[in-house]
Amino acid sequence: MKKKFKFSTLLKYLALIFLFVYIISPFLWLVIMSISSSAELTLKPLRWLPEKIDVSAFKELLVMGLNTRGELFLFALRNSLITALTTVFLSMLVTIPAAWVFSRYSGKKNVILSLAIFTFMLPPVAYCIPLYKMLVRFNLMDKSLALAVVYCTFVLPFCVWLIKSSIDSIPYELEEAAVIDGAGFLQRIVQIVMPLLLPALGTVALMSLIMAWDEYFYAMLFTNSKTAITLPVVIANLASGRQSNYNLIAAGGVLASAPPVIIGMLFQKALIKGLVSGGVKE
Amino acid sequence: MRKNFVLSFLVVCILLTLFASTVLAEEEIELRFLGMAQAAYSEQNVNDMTADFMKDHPNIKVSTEFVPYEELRNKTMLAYGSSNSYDAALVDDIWFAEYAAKDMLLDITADIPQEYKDGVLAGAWNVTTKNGKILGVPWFLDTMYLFYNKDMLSQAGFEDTPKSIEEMVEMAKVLKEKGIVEYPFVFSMAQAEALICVYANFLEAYGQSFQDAEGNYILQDSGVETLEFLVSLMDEGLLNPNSLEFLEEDVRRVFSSGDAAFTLNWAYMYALAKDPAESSLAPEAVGIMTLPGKEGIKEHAAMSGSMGLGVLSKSAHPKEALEYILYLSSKGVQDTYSNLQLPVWTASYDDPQIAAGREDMVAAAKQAFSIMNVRPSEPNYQEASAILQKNIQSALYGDVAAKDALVSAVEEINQIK
Amino acid sequence: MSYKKIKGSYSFLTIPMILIMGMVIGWPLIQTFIFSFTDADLLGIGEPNFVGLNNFLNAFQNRGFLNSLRISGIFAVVVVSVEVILGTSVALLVNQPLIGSKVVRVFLILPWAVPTIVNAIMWRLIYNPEYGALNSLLYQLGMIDKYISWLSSADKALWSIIFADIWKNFSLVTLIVLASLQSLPESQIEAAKIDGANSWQRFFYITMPHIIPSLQVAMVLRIIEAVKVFDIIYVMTKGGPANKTRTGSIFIYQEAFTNSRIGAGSSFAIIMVAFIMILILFYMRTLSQQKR
Repeated sequence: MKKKFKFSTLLKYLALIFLFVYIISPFLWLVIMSISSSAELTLKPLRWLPEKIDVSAFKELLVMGLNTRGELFLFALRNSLITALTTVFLSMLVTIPAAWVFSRYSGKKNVILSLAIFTFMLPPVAYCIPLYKMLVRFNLMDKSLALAVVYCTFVLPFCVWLIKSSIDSIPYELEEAAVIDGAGFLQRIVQIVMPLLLPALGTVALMSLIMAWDEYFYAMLFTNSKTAITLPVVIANLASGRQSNYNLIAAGGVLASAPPVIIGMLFQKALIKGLVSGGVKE
Repeated sequence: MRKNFVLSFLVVCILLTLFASTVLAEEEIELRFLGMAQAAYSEQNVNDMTADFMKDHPNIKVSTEFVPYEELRNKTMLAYGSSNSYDAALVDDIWFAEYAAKDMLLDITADIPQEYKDGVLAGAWNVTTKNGKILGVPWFLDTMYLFYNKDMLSQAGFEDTPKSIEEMVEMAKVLKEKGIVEYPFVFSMAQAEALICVYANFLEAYGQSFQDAEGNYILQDSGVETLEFLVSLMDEGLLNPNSLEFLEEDVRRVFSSGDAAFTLNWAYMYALAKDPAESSLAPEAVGIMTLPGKEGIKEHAAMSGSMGLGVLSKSAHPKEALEYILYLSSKGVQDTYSNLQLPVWTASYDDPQIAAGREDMVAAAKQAFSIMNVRPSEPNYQEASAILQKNIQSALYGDVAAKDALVSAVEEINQIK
Repeated sequence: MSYKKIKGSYSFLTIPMILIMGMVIGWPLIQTFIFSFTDADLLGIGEPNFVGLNNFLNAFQNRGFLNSLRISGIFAVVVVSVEVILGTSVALLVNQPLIGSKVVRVFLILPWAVPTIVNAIMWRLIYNPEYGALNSLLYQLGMIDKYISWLSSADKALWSIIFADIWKNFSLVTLIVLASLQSLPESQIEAAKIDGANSWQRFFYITMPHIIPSLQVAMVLRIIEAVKVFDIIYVMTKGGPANKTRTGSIFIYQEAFTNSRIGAGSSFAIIMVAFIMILILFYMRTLSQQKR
């Protein structure tokens, strides 16, 4: 096929370039800010590239010492990891068997989906007050594990929805054969369903991980100190009104974005495929 | 298998924490202190003080946490409501009444050493005393001072400082006309307490007050002139329009970059505006004074923005917590770290070392403390303030007239009362 | 469905999940419902009194609350419509065989992966009226001669936040639609070409019907997120200036946690839940009608 130059092709390329700039530039600017000195960021008008790279902001956030910013930031990094991983682990542990039952034995498929959407659409402000009171009563404020359980409010429905539709797509005949051989539910789930489910599970786990990493509202309410405070809260506090070291704020933002952005770029295909296949089924 | 593993792992974890906490409790006392990020004493200052305190008290470990002012009250209350309350916290003067009403602060009237009672400025004790009970140790007395750029004023031919609000506005008009600065004024007027502080200082300069003697808000009459004045600054292009999203730190940036001639800010800005690493102004260009009053009404005005340190009544170690806050506000510590914030000790003001190099600031402080007034002190102030903030901003945007804004503000406040 | 024949009672496997959901969703929701009829206080000072429907009656007279719902509504409608249109167009664009479109596709996930809080802070820095990149850029390009206050102009604040939210979230729509586009069999398009359909016809009769189910999923996700928006606004403006960006979630948070009125806060929350449910039900119904 011969290719001829067309005006529409030119337009498409222009649009593509514009799109690329639109996607990249805000974040690129955040990165540039993080390696500029704070004096350069208050010039008027701005200089777009720093004269020399200044990593002092990163140093301040990543060097440990009692009662320092670095200590708080590193603890928050640890807490964010613990909370997110626990949330994912817990959700998987309880949703896989449940989703299996829903998929194999439920007469009314739509009930689960509607329930998932229903719980997903409730604003956190609708249940944060009783949750707060509950955590207070059982002495669970400012604890990563408790926060992870709270995060199940939005991760669980999401997991059930996606995992169930993934199990739906695994042919039941495979299990039937096993049942005839006398396999119990544990063998059916672990030996037959799980191996086939693994890719989908990976996707769901990554999505949940990103969701839990992103969460701010509950963490702001339910954590105070370095024992459980998470990165979004630390960064939001860092950037709040009275702080004007713009390079420090930007460095915090870059560091907090790195894990999800890297995961996202590496596993992009899997992430999106999982979401689409799960959603479109119903 | 996996479940068993997780279960045993959890059990081990729980046992370890229990073990650790019981063992540690005997040897080391842990205190949690909640302070404020930026403004007043810097985080670094407080941490240095704390490190010194821990050196003297090896059995006490203090962990400090800092949140922005806007989160300070909510954090204190949320943590207090939980079983993991802070032991000591920074308390703004407007919160003492509310905390007292909720019994959140320990009554330390009997535990204040005589030397503190005698040595600390009397005005400072007023801030931390409610219903005759001392609920906190004064940490700093502060007000919004008028900062001015001396270079700009002399460029416009003014050698003296303004004697009244009117004179200040005249100067600003000249500065703008001569093109010396686009917006002579910049204030912290975001929808936050900072806006009320600015408004309250001008209200004071106009010789008016928030409430009548019975505690009823009367701003729909008393406060209109002040608000109309602020609106006129905005309308005439004398006030930086970005003021409506600024907090104190933004204001400091603008003033320190030479983009404003006058501003109101707390004492901490003085040292920072003179610091070449933080400011592009020549140190000798930074002027500070108490806000002048309205002509014929008064000469100077100051509205308190002081803070105290309190021991939360749920603290497990009230004795040590008190010891800690007394240390933070002791004369020695306050004199050492007086760079950003002046001490609360009367004697410090006669100490030439404290005043060295900043005689103007110390003079302004002395004057301010002698005339300082306070914002309403009552349990639901925070909510009343939020209502005021919204209505004052509406007027500044020109959505409603100043009078109407204050009428509806007072109406709304009366509803919550 | 042959498997229905082999009955087994494995419902107990769902118990752990139901327990957790009951604990963190069901129970709190019931509590909120109960609180909404009382005058309970945050710190639990004094016994809460039963006040009947007062909270609800007051809510419907509370101008601040109604206004906050209106702002949530505006935010959701604008954000979702722009994201769907922009997201779909971008998906169609990068699905074209253009040089470089593969690279762009890799970076498409960047905005979505940036945490919400970081996105909010990033844009707040960009919008900074004195030192922000946006003012500086527009000024240096000669498009403005005076710096603009993006987040403190009464008429620009909400739109500035909306713009920031769109940057982060349009890419989710794009990615979902793109995945669906890539599963569109080439043969269908070829067949249509042979039948003489022009590119518009191919788009409307083949491509569109194929991507609509995925687009609907993306839309539901985005509507839900947008109606309950809290984080980005709380970080960027805290609801200011003059409450012009105060959404329902922010209002309820302030009522419950700043003013410590849990009772009233709960009733506002219940009303908001009802509001969201009506919206979703309405959306679902329109969908099912379209299918018919």
